[in-house]
Amino acid sequence: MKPQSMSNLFRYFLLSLSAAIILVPFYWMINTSLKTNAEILRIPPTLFPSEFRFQNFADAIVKAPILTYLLNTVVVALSVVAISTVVSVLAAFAFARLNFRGKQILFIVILGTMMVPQEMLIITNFMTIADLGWMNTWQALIAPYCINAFNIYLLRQTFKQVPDELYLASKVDGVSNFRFLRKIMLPLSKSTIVTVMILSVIWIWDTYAWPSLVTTKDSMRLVSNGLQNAFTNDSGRIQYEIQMAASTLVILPLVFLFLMLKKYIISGMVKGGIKG
Amino acid sequence: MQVRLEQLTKAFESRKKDSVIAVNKLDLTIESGKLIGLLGPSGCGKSTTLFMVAGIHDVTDGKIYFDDRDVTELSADKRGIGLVFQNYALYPHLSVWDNIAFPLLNSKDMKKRLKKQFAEQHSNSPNYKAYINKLVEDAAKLVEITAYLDRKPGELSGGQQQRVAIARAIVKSPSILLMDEPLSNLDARLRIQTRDEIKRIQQQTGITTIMVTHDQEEALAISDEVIVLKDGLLQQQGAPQDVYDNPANQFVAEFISRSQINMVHGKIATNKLYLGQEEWFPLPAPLMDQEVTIGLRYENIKHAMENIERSFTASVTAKARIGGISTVQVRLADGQQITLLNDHDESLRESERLNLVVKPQSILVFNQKGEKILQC
Repeated sequence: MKPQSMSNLFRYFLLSLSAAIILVPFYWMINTSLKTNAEILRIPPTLFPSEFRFQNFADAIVKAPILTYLLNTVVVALSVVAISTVVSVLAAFAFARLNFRGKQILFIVILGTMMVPQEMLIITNFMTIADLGWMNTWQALIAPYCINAFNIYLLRQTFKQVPDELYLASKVDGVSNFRFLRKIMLPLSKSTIVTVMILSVIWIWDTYAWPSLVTTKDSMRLVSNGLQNAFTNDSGRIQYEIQMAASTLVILPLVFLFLMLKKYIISGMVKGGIKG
Repeated sequence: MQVRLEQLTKAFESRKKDSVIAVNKLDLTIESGKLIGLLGPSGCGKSTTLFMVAGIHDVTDGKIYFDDRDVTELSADKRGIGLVFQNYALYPHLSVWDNIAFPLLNSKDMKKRLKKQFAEQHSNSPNYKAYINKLVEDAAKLVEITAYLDRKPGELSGGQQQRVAIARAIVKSPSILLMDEPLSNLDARLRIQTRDEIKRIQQQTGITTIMVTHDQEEALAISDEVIVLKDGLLQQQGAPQDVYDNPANQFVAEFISRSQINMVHGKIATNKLYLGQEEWFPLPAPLMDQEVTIGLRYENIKHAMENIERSFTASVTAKARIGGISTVQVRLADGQQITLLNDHDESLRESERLNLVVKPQSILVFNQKGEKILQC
């Protein structure tokens, strides 16, 4: 075998291995979601459902207000995407193109917030939200996600790759900064912006600790919390097959979104100089 | 429009060292309607000067006048200039039409001006939109890219892209057109073609044009006037042929000749010029005794039949032929090498002794500082 194909073989082996590691939990979720309650308790566990029980999905929708959770999540995700994208784009443009006093320091401070674990911020954020009397409100769920240091960083890197001359040319022609951003920067950075939007959606979809802190009412819960709490039977035992069916339902929109926008996400990551 | 620079200076601040002076007290007048070649080696401050005229770099000191208007503090968009960049700077996601129309559609001032023009002119266009379209098409016609208006810049060749960039710069009828190395991203054949295009477009529009270039041939070929800069200092300004024939100093002589010049060591002693160690001829006017460098262009050295006045002898050391140009190298008595064009005499043999003369008015004598002290 030629050395070239040997190294390819090794590469594919590594890729297959990491793909397997990532895919196994997904497989197990779907596997579980189709089993009967009895089969779940069987030891050793079965790799494939002996009998498909699609009823689990119907049960999941009926047993818990999973549709309400989904709707809540969509509302929060859309709001966060709208606000944080606008904020990130404007901030990134300022960092990439404009000159103002303290630009470098401010940028380092924003990058610095990426080093602080989210869990540490939760306490102070919670105190702020509680003081504002925002418990169980939309703004409590939305506000903390509106500024995203990573998105600002990724967009700034992308904006910086747009040649200076394009900016200078439009300056000579009397084009305002805002118009240049809208007409030139944004179309040229489309894929990164889509990436940033998707990342925000995923972030909201997956977020757990914060929404469970600031919401106490079922009507304000997001999917992640709903999944945790809703599927216990009368004896206090979690009904895994229904929980997994609900989980499958919950990730479906994300999977579709990803497949639809795959092209943008990958080129956006590459463009930003960060290989995902 | 006339462009006048008065003591124009640009210093770039640098944190670690002293500031770098890119342009040093430049005094220049550029007459209206001329095509000017701003020429110099890289780092001489020519692009910096251009960008100061454009209003992209601010000025450290000095003044810029367009006619009698002081524009030093004016922002770029208020100066009424068109700017063409080395890398074209076209908007890649927009069609050629959209690129050319961009300056017309995206500036408030421009819109106001165009609306007024449209109202006043009672032009043949039925409506404002058609008027804009006509302006775009006129510009496209001028640079001969009407066939490509629907394409994206990426689908055009480098030369076509540069034409689009020129069309975008002239569509708003600027009073001054500024071009930063417009040809240096093109291959040799396209460069000559586009160079002649620029000349034609400039003559057709009559816009005062400043073209920055590091290529003397480019500048000499199409400019009405060249300006030579070095280290941010003006070296010489004049008609191309005049600058070529009468360089102001050793730098200009060497730069303009593109190494087709011999710089021979010599001296002046008791009012006689020495080529190497050999006495050559008496000076036409007295000069101080000193070491000198004598500049002799390849094409100005000729064979002489016999030992006539101002001739000198040298022996052939090598012959070379590059394409249609044939040169011969000769050695002076003190060992210095001189190259000259070998016009017709193919029969030259090695170590053959030649009598050589130099065309009148083309012996350039420079002192140790590189200043020209004599041309005869």
